[in-house]
Amino acid sequence: MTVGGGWGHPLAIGLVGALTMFGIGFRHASPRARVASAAPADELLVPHTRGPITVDGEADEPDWTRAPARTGAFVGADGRAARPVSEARVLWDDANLYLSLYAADEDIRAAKVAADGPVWAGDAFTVEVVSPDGTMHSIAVGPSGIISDAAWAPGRAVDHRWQSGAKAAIDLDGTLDDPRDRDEEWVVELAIPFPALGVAPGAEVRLPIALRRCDVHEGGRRCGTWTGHLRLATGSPR
Amino acid sequence: MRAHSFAFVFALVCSAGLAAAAWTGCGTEGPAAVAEAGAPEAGVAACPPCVTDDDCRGGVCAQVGGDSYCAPTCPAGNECTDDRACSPVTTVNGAQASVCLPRADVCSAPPAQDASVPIDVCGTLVGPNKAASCSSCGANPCQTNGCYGGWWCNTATNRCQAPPATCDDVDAGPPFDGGGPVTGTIGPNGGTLSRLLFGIVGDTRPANPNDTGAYPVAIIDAIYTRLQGLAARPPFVVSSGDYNFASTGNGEAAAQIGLYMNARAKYAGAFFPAMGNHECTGATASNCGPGSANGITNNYTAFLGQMLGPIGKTLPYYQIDVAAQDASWTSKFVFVAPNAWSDTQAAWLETALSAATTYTFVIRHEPADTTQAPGVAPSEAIMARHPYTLAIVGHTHSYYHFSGREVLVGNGGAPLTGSKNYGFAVVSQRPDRALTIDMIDYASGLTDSKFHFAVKPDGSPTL
Repeated sequence: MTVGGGWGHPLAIGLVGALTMFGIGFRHASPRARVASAAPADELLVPHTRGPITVDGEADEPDWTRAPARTGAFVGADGRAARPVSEARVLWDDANLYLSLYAADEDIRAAKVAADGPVWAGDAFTVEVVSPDGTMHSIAVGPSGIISDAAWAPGRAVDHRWQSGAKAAIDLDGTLDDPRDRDEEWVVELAIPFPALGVAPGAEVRLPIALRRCDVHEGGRRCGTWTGHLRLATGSPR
Repeated sequence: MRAHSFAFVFALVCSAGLAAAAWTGCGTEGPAAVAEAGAPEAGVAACPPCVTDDDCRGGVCAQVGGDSYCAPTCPAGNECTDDRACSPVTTVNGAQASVCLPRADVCSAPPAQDASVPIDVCGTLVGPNKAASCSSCGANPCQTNGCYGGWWCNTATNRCQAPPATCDDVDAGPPFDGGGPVTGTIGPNGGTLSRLLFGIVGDTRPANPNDTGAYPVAIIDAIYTRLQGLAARPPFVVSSGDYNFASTGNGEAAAQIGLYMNARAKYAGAFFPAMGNHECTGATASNCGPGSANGITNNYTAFLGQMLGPIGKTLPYYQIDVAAQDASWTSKFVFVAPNAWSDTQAAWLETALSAATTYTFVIRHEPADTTQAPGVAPSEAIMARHPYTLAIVGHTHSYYHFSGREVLVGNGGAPLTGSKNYGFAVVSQRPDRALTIDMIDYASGLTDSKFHFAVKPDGSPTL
C-alpha cells in the first residue's frame, strides 16, 4: 500500500522541510508562484552542454570542468559543512538533466537491493525534484548504481512504479562493502530525461530541487543536503 | 525542521493506518520502550528502532542503514506492501533474513555530531556509564545511560544502539606549542638542526578529475600560511602525496601542481614530497616509471619536474638525512613510491633502512592496508625487517593514529572522508628524545587533543 500524503509524504520531507528552512514558500502557493518567490541566492544557473555527455561515471567531458553549476559542499543538520564531503555539479542538454554527484567516503557500502528497493539502507544520494506542475520526483542511487525512484502529485498516493528512465554510472575509488581497507570516494554520473520531470526540452524553467547524501558508517548514518533551484540557462553557449 | 516535518508525516501515516500497525507503533502499544518521546515520529512509525527481536512484536530487529530497526519478515518474498521491498538483511543477532523495508528513506538519520564532546560521548551517542535520557532496560540490568547490555544511548532519538566502533570527533585542544625556536639549516638532502621539528601535509586535490578550477587553493594556502606563522616554525615539511586529480593525457596535472607549489611558497622552509597514486594515473593500483605498467604519464612527469626538480631529485623515491647540530642524534627520512614500484626501488629501500639512525621515518602515500598499490605490501615486508620510528602515510582524506607506528595525515585539502577538519601535523622532539605528534586545524590553529600522541625513537608509545 501507499500512503497518500501530498507534501507530507516522507519522500517530500527533505525537500519541503529544507526549502522551508531556506525561506522558500511551498505549501500555500501554486508551483509557479512558489518558484517566483524564491531567493536568487538559492538558484543555480545551469549551463547547456557544448558537447555530448557519456554517462560512464567518469564525468571527464570538458563540460564538467568548463563552467558547470556547482552546489558546493552539502551541509549537515547542524548547518555546518557535512562530513564526509558531498557536492554536486549540474549540466543539461536538450534531452537530459545531468548531475555529477561526489561522495568522499572511507567505507563505501551499498544496500544489496533490487531496482526500486531501499537504496537508502546503504550509502546513497537522493535527488528530489518538483516539476512545474507540482509533481514530486524522487530518485535515489547508491554506489552500486541501483536506482530507486518514485513520483507523486500533491494529495495523491506515491507511485513507486513510476520509472524516471534515469541512467546512472558509478566511478568507485575504493572497494565496495569491504570495511578492511580505507576507501576514497564514489561518484555518480546521473542523466534524468526531461520528459520524466515534465519539462519540455529548451523551456525556460526553474526547478526546485533537493539533494541529499547519507553515509552509512560504523557509528550510524550521517547526511548532508543541498537545496535550491536549478534555472536552465537557455541562452548559454551550445 | 526535520522533526517538525516528521511529526506532520506521522499524523498522516498513522491516520491512514499502516497494514503492519502492530509493529509500527501507530495507535498500538508499539515496540518496546527503545522508542521514546522526542524521536522523529515518522521515522519511528515506519522504522521502529530496536535492540533485540523482542522489541519487534513478530518482526525481526534488522541492521539497516547503520542502525537497527524492526521490520516484518518476507520469507516467501511476496509479503510486502507496495511501499516496501523484500530485501536481504543481517539481523542484530547476525542471522540473515528477508524483511520488508520501506522503499523510501523514511528512517531518520541522526543529526550531525557535535565537534566538542567529552571522552565518553561520541557525537550524540552516550556510553554506558554516563547518565543519558534512554529508558530501554525493561527487566534487564540497567546502565547509567538507561540502556542495557553495553549499548550506547543516542540522545538525539533517546534510544539505544550499538556502540561506535570509532568516534571521529575532534577534541579541540590548545594552540600548538612547539617549544622554542629551532636553529640549523635544511637543504635538498637534509641538514642539521638544534632539535627535530617538522610538519606533515597530505592529500591536496579537487574532488573531480581535471577540475582545476575547484582546486582547494584556499585550504592549502591557509595550511602553509599557518605553518609559516608558527612561533616554533618547522624547518621543513614532508607531504604524503596526491597533489592533483587529472587525466594522464592533458596538462591539468601540471596546472594543479603549480597551484600547490604556489601555496607551498607561502612557507619559507624546505619541502619534501612523497608521490601519490594521483601522480601516476590516479588509480590506486597504478604503477608508473620507465618500464612499468603505466609508464611515464603527464602526472608523473609534472610531479618529478615541478616538485622534485627544485630539490634535485630525479627519482620518485629518495632519502634525506637530518642530524643534531651537536651530533647527539641522527635521523633519516625515506620517501617510498609504491605507485612507481620496481625491484630497483625495493633494493634501494632495503639498503636505506639498513643504515642505523636514531630516528627513521618512512613516508609513503598509501597506508599498510591499501595493498592494491603495487609497492605497499613489498615495502611493508622490507620495513618489517628494520627498525623505524613512524610510517607517515596519507591517501585517506582525514587523519588517524591507530595503534602501531603508522600515522595517517591526508587532510590537506582533498575532500574530507571523515568528520575531521583540514589541517596539518607537526612532529616535535622533546628533551627526552621522544617525539610528540600533533594535528593542527588549518582554520583555528588549535590542536586535536584526541589525536595527540608521543613515541620513543623506536616507535614505541610513551606518555
